[in-house]
Amino acid sequence: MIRSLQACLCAGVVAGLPALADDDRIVDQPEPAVSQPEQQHLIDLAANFDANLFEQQGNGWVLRGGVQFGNGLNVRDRVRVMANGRLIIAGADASGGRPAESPTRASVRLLAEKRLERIAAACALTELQRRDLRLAIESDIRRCTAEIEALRGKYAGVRVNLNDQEGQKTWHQFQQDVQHCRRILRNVLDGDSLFASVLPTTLEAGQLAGIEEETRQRRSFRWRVMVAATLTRMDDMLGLTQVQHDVIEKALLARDPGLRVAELKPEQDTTHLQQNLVYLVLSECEPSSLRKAVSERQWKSLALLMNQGKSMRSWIEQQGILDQPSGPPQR
Amino acid sequence: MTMRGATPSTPIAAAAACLLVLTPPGAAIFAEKPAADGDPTVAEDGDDAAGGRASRGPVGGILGIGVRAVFDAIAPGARRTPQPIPIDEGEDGEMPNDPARAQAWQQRKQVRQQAKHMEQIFQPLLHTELEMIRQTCPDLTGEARREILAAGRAAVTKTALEFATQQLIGGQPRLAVDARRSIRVPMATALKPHASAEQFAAYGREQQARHARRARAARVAIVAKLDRHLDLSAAQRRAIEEDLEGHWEDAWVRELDDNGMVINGERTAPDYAKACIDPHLDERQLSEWQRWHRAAGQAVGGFHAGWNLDGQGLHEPDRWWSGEEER
Repeated sequence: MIRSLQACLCAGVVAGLPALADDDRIVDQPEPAVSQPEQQHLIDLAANFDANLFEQQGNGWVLRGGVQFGNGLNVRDRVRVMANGRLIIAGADASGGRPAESPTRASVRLLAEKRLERIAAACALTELQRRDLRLAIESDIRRCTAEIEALRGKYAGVRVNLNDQEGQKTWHQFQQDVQHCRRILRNVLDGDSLFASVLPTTLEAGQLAGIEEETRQRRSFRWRVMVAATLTRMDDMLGLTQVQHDVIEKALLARDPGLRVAELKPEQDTTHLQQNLVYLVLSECEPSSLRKAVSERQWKSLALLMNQGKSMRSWIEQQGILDQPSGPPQR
Repeated sequence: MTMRGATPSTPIAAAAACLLVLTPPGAAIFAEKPAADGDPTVAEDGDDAAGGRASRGPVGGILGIGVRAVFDAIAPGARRTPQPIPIDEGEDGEMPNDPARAQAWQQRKQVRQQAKHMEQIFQPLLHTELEMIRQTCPDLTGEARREILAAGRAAVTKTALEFATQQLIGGQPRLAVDARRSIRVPMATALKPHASAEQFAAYGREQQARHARRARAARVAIVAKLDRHLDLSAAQRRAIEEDLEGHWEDAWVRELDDNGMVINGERTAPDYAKACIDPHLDERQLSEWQRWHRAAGQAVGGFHAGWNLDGQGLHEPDRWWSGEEER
């Protein structure tokens, strides 16, 4: 009996332990100040350099936390490039392990390889021609890689907090450097590159004509796509009739803006850019025939769109979707 | 899985894009034009004058029907059909005292608030339709114009309410709201008794032409996307475009609504048109195409908006419609 009472008392005491009386809450001592790591605001610029230069579509910006894969490789080691239907993954050797060379060089090489494959598909290169072009490409890659690596090296191990002024300043400089590298990348095989000067002397006239034709067809197709897509938007905005649509379409297709088709970057021409390019080209068309074709109400809206395109000319030209006169990239 | 879209260019576009992301994925599967019942621009042989020959079944086809049947058998109550909310807000009355009914009443108010916002987003559709009617039927009387304008405005209100209902309490609807159609059809119905047969036919032809243009633009957009990814030859581009044209389904205009959406780091793959693409690829392209559409197929995250999200267009009120201006 006594044992039972003892057991009950013990159980009661144990059960009562967690219960707190009101006065137990009097003490309200603040926790010792522990510095909160601001991980959520820290941006690893080295990782973002690769992501923005090699993966980002258009000329937008992507912000990623410090992205490191298990094997210590950076985001760029996952760059995928299709070269004439063949998938190549940048930065990995045959076994998929660590890259055998600088990730920048590997990525640029893959992009250049895509250009070479497209040329080969257009004009059936001989082995000798292919070798010569590759040599020229290698030289250009070395030059371009050295420039990119120099800028990229500035950000090795740099993590910035975008909530403070210093971090924002660094981020701004980072954007300028990436933008410069984008221009280097865009022109790596063009302008005064060795590849551009060797190509006409390496290939036969017939082969060059084949490349030119392939480029012409691709350029014309892409312009047609942009015009068609933007005209559907204009259909939605203006309620165009078939006749009006045809007048605008004809005017646009007659003015090929010279789209750049030998891109060395992921897709650059976003919808926003495409539309404004079409509006810009439309603003350069003979206005009287357009004005005559549409109603006064439609013209008011159409003129706004054309002005919008015109005002964005310098921005559009900076995006690198048009063939530019050759020359070194400007900083 | 990560999904990322292009940055909308206007606040309205941003708001609409947010709503689109909220759209139940199931809705996208059935987001095609429903049967053309009630559309006065539909010809007697079944051709939709404003929409070409629409495929009447769900996009999922037999498989889609099967999956839904299995889903219904497992969870028969899961697919709710929301009660339509009356247009007249006065019918809501005072908030009931009963907690359950009060909750429903509050939910209804939220839907109405959202609908007001959607009405603004749908305005460009109304203005476009009015412009097209004005251009093809210039002889409408002042009274007829006012009637058509009223029908258009009511259609916008109703469509916005339906859309908001589906967004906020929609469950898994059989068909997503097709805003373009649900605004156009009531206006065409209101127009028909007032327009001459000739002018109404001209209006129907313009609708049909517009629909055909959208389909053509979507086809080249699909080919362009494939070309970017797979480096097609000119002959392959032509062959795929022809194949798409020969087997075209209206729901594929969804490609026009792709503003740069990315899934798993890649642009969405137009896998819905797979049968028109596969035969024209070489072995290497085919292998990459299969990997791509498994990683970022549109069936994974696809949705169908089908209206002008930019909010640009004919904003100025056209006094002709209120009967103040004769021509």
